[in-house]
Amino acid sequence: MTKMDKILMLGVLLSGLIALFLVKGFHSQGQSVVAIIQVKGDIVETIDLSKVEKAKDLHIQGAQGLSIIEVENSRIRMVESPCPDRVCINRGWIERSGEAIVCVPNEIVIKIKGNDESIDDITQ
Amino acid sequence: MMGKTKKMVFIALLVALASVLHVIEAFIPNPLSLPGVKLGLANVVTLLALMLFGFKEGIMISILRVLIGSLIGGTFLTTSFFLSFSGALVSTLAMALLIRFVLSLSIIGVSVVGAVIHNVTQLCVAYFIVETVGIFYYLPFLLFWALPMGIGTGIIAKMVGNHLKRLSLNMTI
Repeated sequence: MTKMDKILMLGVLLSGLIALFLVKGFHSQGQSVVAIIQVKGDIVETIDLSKVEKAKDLHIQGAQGLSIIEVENSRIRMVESPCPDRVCINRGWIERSGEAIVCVPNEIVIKIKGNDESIDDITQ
Repeated sequence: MMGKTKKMVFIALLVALASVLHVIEAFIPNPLSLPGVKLGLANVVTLLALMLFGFKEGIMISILRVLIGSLIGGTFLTTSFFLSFSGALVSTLAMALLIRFVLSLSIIGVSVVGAVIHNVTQLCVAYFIVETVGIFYYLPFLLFWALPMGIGTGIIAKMVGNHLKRLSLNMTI
């Protein structure tokens, strides 16, 4: 192995690290997801979940009363709801594009939509 | 120098060896469950061909290897065939240029470059096939993988090459 070889290998390792770094940024951008909250079919709130830094609660007025929705970085859940069956609360956190929380009695729907084509299950 | 017939037989042997390695490689389970991660055993033969003969023979052997290997493996004209073909072609070209013009690199360094170029080419071709930018997510892992595999194939090629040269001297070709 010559000196040039070693320099080259170091170069490959470095470019791998750089690529890893670039891809990480690119990946979190690609994964950015938007949560859409609908009441009686109308969109009342859209939140970019990837941009949420601190967890916060949203108070949404539904058909029966006030629902409390908790938002964290890249995920969202229902924490309080006036509905009797509590299906929406038991659904827990949702975070992937295509997932949804539906509260039928209170007529609140929380949907997650990817805002660009990110890697789907097949490519993963 | 080798006689014409001897050279032809030797090239045929190398093609056969490379084809078999190409097929066997496909049977080895993928350790990282990443597409495109392979040992690159067939690259040993390409390197040998470039070392012992030259550019023309190297390209010829790697093209024939992909054609025959994919026919045996049943992947002819499928996605993986195009990936293998493009990767083999471009990496052989790059290695041939390095062997000829960059004398400060040993065969191991040449092999590493070959492995890297092979993976990068495949990734680019795969991008045009699936048309998803997300595929470049694999780039760093493929680069990291290319390093040990390139070193490994380089060392094997060097050892086999030295051995063959000794044999050839004894046989007074």
